[in-house]
Amino acid sequence: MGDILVNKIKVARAERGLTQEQLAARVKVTRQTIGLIEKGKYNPSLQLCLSLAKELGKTLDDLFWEE
Amino acid sequence: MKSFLNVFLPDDEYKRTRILYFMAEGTFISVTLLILFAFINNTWLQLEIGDFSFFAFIIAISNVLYIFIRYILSGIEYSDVVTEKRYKREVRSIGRNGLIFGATFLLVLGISSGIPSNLEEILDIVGPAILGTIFYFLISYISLKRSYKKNKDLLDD
Repeated sequence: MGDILVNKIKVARAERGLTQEQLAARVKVTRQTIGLIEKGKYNPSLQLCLSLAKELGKTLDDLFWEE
Repeated sequence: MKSFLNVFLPDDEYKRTRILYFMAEGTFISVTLLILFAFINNTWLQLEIGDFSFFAFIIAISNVLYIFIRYILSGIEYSDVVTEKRYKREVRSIGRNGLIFGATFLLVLGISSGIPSNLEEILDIVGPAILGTIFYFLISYISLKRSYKKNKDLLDD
């Protein structure tokens, strides 16, 4: 996972004013999983990508498409 | 995905994936060892079937141990321990649970072995209970320490 893509998730979370813990609770994963996704150390499933996009008010393209 | 393995797997998808990998690795190693042993036994050792059963048992136990050790060292057990306060709370909790585990172990051993009549019988009950408790403490502490380190590395910058 590229750095730009990774930062998009982190930036989107910060824009929403959510902590890793809060986002994790909303998408029903652990804080560790959110941390790993943000650091580019874990590729989430499509289902989790959708949950993240919904919670962060973004589309999949906004969060996961590299320009 | 429907599978009987779901009973053993957590809800979190990262943990789930890691544990599935550990299980797959363990199974791969076990199957490889079994094939290797069968080959060596057929061509060289020529052991009786009883010996082979023992070897198969050892491989099965090794499989479970492999998955367990990988899980402990992966730092995924205490996935929400990030602050020092929470870490210390978990250490205390491990201590409490360890003592409960030790006491239960002692009780079960005591009941199953009957009232000890000499020092050797007392040691037969107390020894395994102490070792079990130390083992419990050690495993839980290593898992917590690894999880805490991993979680801190993943914190917001």
